[in-house]
Amino acid sequence: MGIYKVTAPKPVLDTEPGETLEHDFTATEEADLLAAGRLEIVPRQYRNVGTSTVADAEPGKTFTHSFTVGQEQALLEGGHIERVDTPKPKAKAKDPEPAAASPDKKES
Amino acid sequence: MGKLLVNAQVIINSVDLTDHCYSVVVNGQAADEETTAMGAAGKSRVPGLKDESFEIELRQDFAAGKVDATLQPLYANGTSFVVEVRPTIAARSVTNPAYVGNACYLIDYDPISGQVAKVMNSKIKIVVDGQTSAIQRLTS
Repeated sequence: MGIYKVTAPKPVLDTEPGETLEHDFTATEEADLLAAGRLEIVPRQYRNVGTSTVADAEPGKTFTHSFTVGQEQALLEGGHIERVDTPKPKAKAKDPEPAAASPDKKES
Repeated sequence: MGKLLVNAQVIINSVDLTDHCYSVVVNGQAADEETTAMGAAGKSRVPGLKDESFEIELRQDFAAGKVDATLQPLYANGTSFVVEVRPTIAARSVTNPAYVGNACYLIDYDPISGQVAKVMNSKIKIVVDGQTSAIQRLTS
């Protein structure tokens, strides 16, 4: 799953501009959204598990990069890299209401 | 003054394959569009659409993380990727410009090619999607 920052004035998949979005876009969908300036790829950490230098990182080293879906897939399939971090769901602020209150009840 | 090309750097989809490359050509070509009209003393022309590519020859290597592992997924998946070629392996500079194709496709890849008792090489052709971005000359 890719991590993106919504950059356009309009939301993408209900994610507001400025917020991050985790989604499995196809290579074509991602390319279109990037070209339209609606998203930017959030760089993530990788480890070079191959035997060649990748993105200036020697074998065994970790590095941060913003690969597209297709580029990352080719590097993963080729045994060059592995992801170091795993995507985490967006952290939401905990509701400060007392424990007795219903957690799914919202005031309008 | 002529310079020997002995240590060019070749990076394909972020993977540095310099140590397997023995020939590289950065092709820049524009269509020759003629604009000659009646009364002209000679042919007049304007450059047309650009058609750019990289032609690279490599020593084939099927080990993990080497030539085939890098190229086969790019060819099979039709992935758009970045290619960078520099005259030497040093950092980009005014005297060591990087020629970078940001939207490239691998269209010719022969994973196995050779003769008995000869080194197995692989010649590839990478074309640039000129609609997205032309080859850039970067000095930093």
